[in-house]
Amino acid sequence: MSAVFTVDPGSGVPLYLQLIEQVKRAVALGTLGAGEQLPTVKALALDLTVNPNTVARAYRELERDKVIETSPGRGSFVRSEDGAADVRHAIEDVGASVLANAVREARSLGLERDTVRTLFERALERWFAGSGPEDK
Amino acid sequence: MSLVEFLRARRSFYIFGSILTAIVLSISISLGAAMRQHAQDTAGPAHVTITISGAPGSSHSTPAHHHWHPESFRDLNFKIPLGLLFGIAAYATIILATILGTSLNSENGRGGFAFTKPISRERLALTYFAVDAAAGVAIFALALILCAIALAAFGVLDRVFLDSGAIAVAAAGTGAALMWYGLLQALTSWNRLKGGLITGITWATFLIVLPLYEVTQLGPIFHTMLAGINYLNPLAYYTACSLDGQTVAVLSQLGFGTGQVIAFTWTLGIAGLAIATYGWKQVEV
Amino acid sequence: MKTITIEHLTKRYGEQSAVADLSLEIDEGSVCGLLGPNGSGKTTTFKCLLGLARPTSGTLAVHGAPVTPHTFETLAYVPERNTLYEWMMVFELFNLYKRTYKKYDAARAAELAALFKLDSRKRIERLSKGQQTAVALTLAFATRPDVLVLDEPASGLDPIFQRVVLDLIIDAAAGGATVLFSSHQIGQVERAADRVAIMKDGRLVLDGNVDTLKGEEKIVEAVFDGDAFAPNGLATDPRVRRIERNGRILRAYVRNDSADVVRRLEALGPKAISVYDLSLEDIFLGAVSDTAARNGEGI
Repeated sequence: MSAVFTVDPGSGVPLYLQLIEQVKRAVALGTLGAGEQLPTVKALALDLTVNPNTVARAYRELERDKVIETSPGRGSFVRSEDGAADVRHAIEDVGASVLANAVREARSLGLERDTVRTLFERALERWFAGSGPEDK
Repeated sequence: MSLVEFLRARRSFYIFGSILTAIVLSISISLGAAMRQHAQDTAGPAHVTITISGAPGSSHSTPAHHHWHPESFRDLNFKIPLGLLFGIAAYATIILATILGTSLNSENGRGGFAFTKPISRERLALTYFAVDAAAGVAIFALALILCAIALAAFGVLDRVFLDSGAIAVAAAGTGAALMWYGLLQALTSWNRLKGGLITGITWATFLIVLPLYEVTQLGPIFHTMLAGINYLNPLAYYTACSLDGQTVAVLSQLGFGTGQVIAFTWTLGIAGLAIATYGWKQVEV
Repeated sequence: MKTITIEHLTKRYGEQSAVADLSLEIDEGSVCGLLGPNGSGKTTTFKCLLGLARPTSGTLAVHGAPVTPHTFETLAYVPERNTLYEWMMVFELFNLYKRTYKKYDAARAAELAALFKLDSRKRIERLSKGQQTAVALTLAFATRPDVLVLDEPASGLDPIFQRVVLDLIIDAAAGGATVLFSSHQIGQVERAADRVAIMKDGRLVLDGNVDTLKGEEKIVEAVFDGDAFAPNGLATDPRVRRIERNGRILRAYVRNDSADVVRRLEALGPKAISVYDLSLEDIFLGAVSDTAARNGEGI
């Protein structure tokens, strides 16, 4: 299960943020189901060869974001259905940051707002074909 | 950490002990065989002086020039004082002591391997001294055994008797070994000099100074300097051991009696170890 | 709780300062990677900490007290150079440790020896440099230490064994041990450490949590239409470590609050503006390069 995660310690993005995003993404994609147990801090640290305190920090923040819950002695689990709204939030967080980055990049290329919007619509057409363009 | 020094001392003991054994055994076997073939009467030694250095035994007596033939040995009516064998064994101990005398120094170039163990440096030093002392006792015993083998080869082992000066000679001889050991430790414990080099220099110095001191004509300043160095020279204290009638006594170039040699060598040796331990405590790696 | 405390450490050899006014505190359970060019004072710092060299000034403590022989019951040190007794057999060293340490774990030693493929019947001098390092590491970790001080622990090891060393550090840290290690390889620090300290010329030039530093350190790049722009006051802004200007492009190395620097640059009306993350390697090179100290003057 832990093979689900991969991190790149060489990148400029803090490791714990990479890990948080990985977990949120796994929850969003369903590869980590509700109630499913996460690896222990030590196991994940050894598996990814990263510092255990960094993993622990990611788990703490995920708990604060109500994506996972940790019970002492049992381990960390993806929150079950009653926490679905929070998981939903977490997923939206991931989406929001991905889109924000894309927009920032586009703007730094010197594109105008309308151009970016047009490009965005085109992307929606492609990936959400048949399910949404009628709300235009 | 005593294991480190145990293994190191054991190596030196094995190497030096094997050389010693090889020499003694080869001499014993060849001479013993020769002796058994020709049993003839000749005049034997009346006075034996054993010395490790090139210096004359003492200033007051002319050393006897013995011209002995192995085949004549057994038929002589003489007895062998145990002190003489102790005196010989002490020389073996002195040689091993100088080989082991830089044991503290040998830790200094190791990035503090020994100094990052849960043992204080003082205790470590004492441990090393104790192990080296045990090696000294062992080589003394080995040398005695080899003497016994050699005497047995000549068929004269039964002539050995315990003389009144034996213990004192042993104490003086091992005192000289301790003094040299202490001197080497004090010279090398606080620095990164090559231990073997310093050991060699002390040997060369002491063996050269000893005869030079007697014969030098190089003026008073040089003579005073040599005299000064000679007070650090264990071989000037324990120059030879001499058979004198029914017992054995230490001949000291400095003119000391056996009792004084014991007192001075042991005191200087222990002082050397105290200085060495203090110096070792200051070492930065 | 601070496991290692170094306050204002200065160590001079003659006129030469090997370490100058270095202060560093390492929390219990933390793994601190000490980076720096050769001769920047890393090894001297370790030696002063462990009582192998006397500091010229400053105070050093492990678990709140100066190092004594007792400290080494639970502190393992692996020096940079191999300093094992070259004439000993590997198993003799294992015996030595068994006799010396109360906490020595023979099973763990055997496990690590197998991991590093060590032949215990071999004499140390017959081992490669990497294998000697492996012996030293095996001995250190087999004592189950609470504190590990490792001077370039992976030097001479092939990439597979380097990864084993990182795993050992991570495993020890997960068990609550505090680790201080030096390295030339930033990748090792990025993985194993949660804390990084960077030394240059005997001084600590940067120190902090790896992730926090990565999160704080950014490059803000602004592209202007012409080269007639004046980033007033930006060079003296304490958040800006360094400014590079190349024709129409301006790059600011920013620590903390890059968003505000972005706003200030936006006010100058750039054609485009981007923010880049800095890897630890970028941060390291920025900290130790000779031009690191505010070369933005005059802009």
